[in-house]
Amino acid sequence: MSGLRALAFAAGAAWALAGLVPAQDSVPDFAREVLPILERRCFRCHKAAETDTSGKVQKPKGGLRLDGRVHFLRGGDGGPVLVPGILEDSEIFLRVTLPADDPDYMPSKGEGLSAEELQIFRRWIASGAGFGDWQGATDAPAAEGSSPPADGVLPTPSRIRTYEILAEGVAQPPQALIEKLARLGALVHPVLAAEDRRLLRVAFPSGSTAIGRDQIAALAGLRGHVAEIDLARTTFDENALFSELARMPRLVRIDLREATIDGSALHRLGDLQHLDVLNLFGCRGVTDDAIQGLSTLTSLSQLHVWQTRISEAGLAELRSALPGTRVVGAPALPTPLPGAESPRRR
Amino acid sequence: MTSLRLVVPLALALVSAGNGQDVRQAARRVDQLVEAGLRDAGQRPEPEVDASTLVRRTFLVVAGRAPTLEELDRWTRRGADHGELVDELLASPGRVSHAFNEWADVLRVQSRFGRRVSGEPYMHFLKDALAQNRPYDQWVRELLTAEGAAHAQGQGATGYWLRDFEMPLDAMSNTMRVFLGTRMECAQCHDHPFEDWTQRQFFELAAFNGGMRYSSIDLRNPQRSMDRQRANVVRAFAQENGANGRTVVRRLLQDQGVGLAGDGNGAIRLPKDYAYDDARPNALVRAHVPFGPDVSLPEPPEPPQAASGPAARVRARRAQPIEPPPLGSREAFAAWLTSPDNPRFTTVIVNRVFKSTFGLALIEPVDDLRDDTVAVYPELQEHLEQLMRELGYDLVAFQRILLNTRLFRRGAAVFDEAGEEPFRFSGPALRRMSGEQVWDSLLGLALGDPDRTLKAPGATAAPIYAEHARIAGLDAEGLEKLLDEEMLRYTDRPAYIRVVAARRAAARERATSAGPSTAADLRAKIQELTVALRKARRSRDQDAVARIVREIADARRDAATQTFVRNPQFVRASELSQPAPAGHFVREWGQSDREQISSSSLDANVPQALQLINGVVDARLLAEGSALRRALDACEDSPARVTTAFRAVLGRDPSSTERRTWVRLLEDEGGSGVVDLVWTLVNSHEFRFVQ
Amino acid sequence: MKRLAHSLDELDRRAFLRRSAAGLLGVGLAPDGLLPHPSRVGTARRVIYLYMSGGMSHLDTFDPKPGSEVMGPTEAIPTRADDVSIGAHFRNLAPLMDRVAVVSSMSSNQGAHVQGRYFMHTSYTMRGTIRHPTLGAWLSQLAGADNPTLPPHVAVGGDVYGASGGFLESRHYPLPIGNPSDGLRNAHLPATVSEERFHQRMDRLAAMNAAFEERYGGQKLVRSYAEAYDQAVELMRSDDLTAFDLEAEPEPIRAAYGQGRFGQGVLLARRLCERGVRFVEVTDGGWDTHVENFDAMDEKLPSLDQTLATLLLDLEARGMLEDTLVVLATEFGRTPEIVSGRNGRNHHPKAFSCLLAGGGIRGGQRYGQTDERGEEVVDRKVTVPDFNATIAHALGLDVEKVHQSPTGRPFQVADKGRPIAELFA
Repeated sequence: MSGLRALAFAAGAAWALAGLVPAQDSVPDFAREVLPILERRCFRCHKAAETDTSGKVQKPKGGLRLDGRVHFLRGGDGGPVLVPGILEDSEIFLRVTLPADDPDYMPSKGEGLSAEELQIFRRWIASGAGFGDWQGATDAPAAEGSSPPADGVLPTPSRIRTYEILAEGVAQPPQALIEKLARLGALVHPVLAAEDRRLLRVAFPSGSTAIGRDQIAALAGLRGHVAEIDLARTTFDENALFSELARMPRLVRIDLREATIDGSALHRLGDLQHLDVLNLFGCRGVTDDAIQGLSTLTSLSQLHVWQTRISEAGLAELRSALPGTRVVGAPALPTPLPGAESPRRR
Repeated sequence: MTSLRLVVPLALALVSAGNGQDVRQAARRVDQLVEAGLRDAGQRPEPEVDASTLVRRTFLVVAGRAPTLEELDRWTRRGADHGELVDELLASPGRVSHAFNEWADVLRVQSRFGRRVSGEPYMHFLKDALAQNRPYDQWVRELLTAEGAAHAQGQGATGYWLRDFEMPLDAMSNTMRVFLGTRMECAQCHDHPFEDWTQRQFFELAAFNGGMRYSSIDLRNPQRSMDRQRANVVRAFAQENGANGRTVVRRLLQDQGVGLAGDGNGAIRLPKDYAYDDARPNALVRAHVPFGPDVSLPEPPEPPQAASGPAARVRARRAQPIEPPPLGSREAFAAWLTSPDNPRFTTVIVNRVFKSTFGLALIEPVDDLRDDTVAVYPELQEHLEQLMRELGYDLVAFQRILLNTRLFRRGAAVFDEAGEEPFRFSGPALRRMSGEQVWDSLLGLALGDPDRTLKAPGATAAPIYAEHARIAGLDAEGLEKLLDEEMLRYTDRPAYIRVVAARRAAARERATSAGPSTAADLRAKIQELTVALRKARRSRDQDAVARIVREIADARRDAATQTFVRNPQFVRASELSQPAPAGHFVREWGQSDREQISSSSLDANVPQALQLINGVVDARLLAEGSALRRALDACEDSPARVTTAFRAVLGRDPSSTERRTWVRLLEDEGGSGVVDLVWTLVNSHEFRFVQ
Repeated sequence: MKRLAHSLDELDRRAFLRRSAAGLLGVGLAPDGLLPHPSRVGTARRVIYLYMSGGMSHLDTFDPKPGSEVMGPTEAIPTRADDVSIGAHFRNLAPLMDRVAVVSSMSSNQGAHVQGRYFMHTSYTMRGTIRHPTLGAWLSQLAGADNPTLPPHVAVGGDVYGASGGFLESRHYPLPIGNPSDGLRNAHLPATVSEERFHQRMDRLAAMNAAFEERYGGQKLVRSYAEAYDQAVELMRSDDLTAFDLEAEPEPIRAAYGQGRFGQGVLLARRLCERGVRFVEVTDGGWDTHVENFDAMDEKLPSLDQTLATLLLDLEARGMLEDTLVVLATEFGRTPEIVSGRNGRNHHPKAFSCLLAGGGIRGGQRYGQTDERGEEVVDRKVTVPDFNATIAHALGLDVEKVHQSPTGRPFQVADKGRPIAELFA
């Protein structure tokens, strides 16, 4: 490239970046203004793989296809080349504005973008890189595809969807109540989204004081907002606490792993319409006597009873009483390998 | 040549080991350059430290441990000369121990490399080289060109390449890093993304070891390595015993023969998936160096002319590729690498010794040089490189000069690693003791003279040599017996296990003695308590559980205490297995697993804190028989005890406030006050950092 | 270390929470009393990260090519997941593969151990002197702990070198456990030291250290030691110390995990997770099978099979699999080509496999494909940053948010990786 031309490009680039050329506020029409640039300058190398006249397969350079919206957003071997709205993170823009003799300058074949083309390109990206209706090539990527599409929708977990429904119409709880509960030893997290406190997960981490009247009273204040409660390894007055839990209309999960209960008050939970998971793992005080109470918890989709004192027969009884519930007992663990050495203790 | 200007005055100032005047002069020059640099940067040098701080620092830097009470007394006395202390420590076995630890981290020394190779001969070689202060370039050259059976006496240098057994490419990239500070690991698979190294250049380097074999016995033709009688025995045995017999023979030959052979044919094949334009995949490339002085290898003889015609071509293609003949390329590579003209060889070693002395190097990191790397003081760097060359790579002499600088006597300076500024050496860098230094220092408190646990360099390798020689010396009959024994592995497994157990027992007999019986009693007690604990847990008796847990912890500590003085494990870190076992004190304090180069760590972690809070002081350090305990018991009064404790642990006298406070406590609390005092000192920052 | 001057009985939980929240990039405890939480809610509260150090062969494990010569003597077996077959050694895992997603299209260009391990743990390539934080450290920094008395991040086995907190403060670094069967040693006061005496010792220590910290506190390592001591004391007082004690586990379960160091390490991870530790990494070495690959597979795979199967079943039965993400990762795979003479496979970063299970992952699938030799990825390549972004997303971390290092450089928790939608249920 001649020096003069290079200078022009560099100047154009510099101007474009410095915004000295008056920026027009209108957003470029993709199909009319941007697509032709791509066709002229980029598609030669950055389109679908094809076999050329000599029989060799020409793959899209750098794994990057620009000939379709989905491909464009997916990017190339190095990841996405476009961050809508952010010029300095959009590699595709940085490359075309490099000095023409830079080894990374794009396009590497054929003529580079003119000053006006750069301007259009820049405005397009800066304004959010809208594609309008354009789809372009929609075939699936051949050979080594790169990262999933930028607008690949990450699914909402089903649990969150349930919570979203449950939280409809619920007001944000007063901060003071949450603070009060936290002061009494609880850890409180939102379950919906960062700032959304309508539904909460309450946990009592190990080492906290036993759950007594004060804690129960504080819980009562947040009654309508508790969706999950983690009482693992805690001790409490079963009747008192379960009575309170029974008044939490939106309670979905109760974790009682290794809690000190005998199961006599479990039936109180029967009123909870949305109770989905009850984890009684390790509750050694729970025996077959609790089966009757548990049988009323028909809303459960999962009930964990491993390492309780519920018998095999009791397990069978539970399963037939709760046909819609997955009752999880002891797992069938693999048999140890023969000849294994025992762990050494120093 | 620009260096000529420096050569002449330096030649005059050339240090013969211990010539005080010349050392001081050389040290002064270093100080001038540092102080000029500080002035330019607008920084002031730290004031010099007092005698006890300096003595402690010198012991740690040179001998890898804190000074004992006697040593501290001697060297803080009026009239004691720092230069003399330096000389004495540089000549002591402690220096060898400490230097070994540092090199072991760089060279990834392990007591065993995989299943087949013992690391003991390698350790023997290194400790020897360090103890004799052989010139660095010389022993590096030996490492690179070693040949022979690894386990035979005198071949320890083979351990270098054997460390990366059958992985010549990794070994080469490790070599470039360790000795030339050049990171080429990426280039094994592709052109380096940032630096200039191409994949081809990497293979051209690897070509210098072309044809090197990892066995001193030619496994394809083992008969060549033995006399006719033994060859016959081996052949007969293999024939009679089928596939298993052949396996037995192969294993025996492999184990006995593991080592290095071949002096390098200067050629290597590129990988099958080589993707660049400058050569075809699988092409043969010749050895070339990527920088520095050129290496010329003799031209290999012409391969025999292929006859013309399609049939001949087909035959030629089908025939085995002719192996390039040996050219001595390994020697050539070693000469290039260790050459004073190699632009990076001297740079790296200068920085390693500088860092070892002052806590940080003029170029950080020391093993990642780039084209644009600049030392924080370029003139000093150049000066030191010239000095190293002039000294003929005598590392002790070089370090002696550094240790005699004013810089070495200055107060420690903080380095903010998150900052953008390089460290400018207003004083040595404040640093934490390495895991080995902490261990060795605590050992000093317990034993009083930790250096007496240091063994002669070849002591632990002796059984390896003996066994190797024994097998090598077997006559035909002995060989047959050995083969039959090994065959049991396939024909009579229980008998084989007995044979192996007997061999191990015999080896143990020859090695260190077992611990005293009180340890066995306590171990039995611990087992009993463990059973009781399980019972208590099952019956949910929380009080009993808590009580028994504490009893077990105490019993464990007692077991250690009873035997610790005579415990073969209470030796300096250089005498432990390399690396120390996972969970060992030294490992918790950062000794690496020796799988990666220079991967020891100085990070803080909770197990370290727990160790010092609960594990070391109350039980061990002041137990019956400990040197510290004896020293404290010998004190007449509380002030003496306070002073002794401070001097033993921190290497200094208490301030008057400190003395007052602690004396009062000791008078109130008596014996437990002493323990509390030692506990506080050992847990303090001052103990673990080198000021 | 000032708070150590308080008596431990007066441990002010609130003050502790405040202090740990203060680590959240300058944001203090939210005024409403809620603990620091990530910006969205994830499906997993914790991660058990199993790291196969050395480069685990993919063909012999989770991406076999039955019938091909590249397999050597390794055979494949079908599993409960449709169209997913795995190495024949995995008898216990095969019926559980409906819980597991196999990512067969991992691809990296870091073919050396140190670089590969670093890249896998941090999503960044090694650059000079910067040490990037690993996911466990980011999690601790950004989302806090579930149990204030236990460390948020633990690393069992392996060297701390591979799993570190990088430029974050050292309280986010993992607590290293060298030998899981040893538990956490020295966690109890000696019998001769009463609580009161201990408080006095800590007070005097604080006084002694004050001058040193004043003078040298600008050095990160000095501050780190102050933190380590704080955390150590916290741990000593924890009711959950028993989590570290494997002897407390019923013998059959302990045995089911496998008696080797890795198996016991995974058991320790489960025990720690039960009590609120949010990120536990367990490293197993010996995967660098340049020599005698198949012997090594015969030795290692049955025990990996046993350990992994036990972990999944155990977590599930405890109701923990739903919100515990189990990851099996390695730095690269191994060549389809079997090196003759050594019977080994060399490094192969272009294509390899990792596993994800639990924590909201949709199991029973093989995501991505390699060609018929396992040489190249032909479908849905997953870069290391993408893989880590998937983990981060499961934990509720914002992968797009740009954080700043102490020197003001921008970083993201998984560099520019993006989470993979199809891997989530």
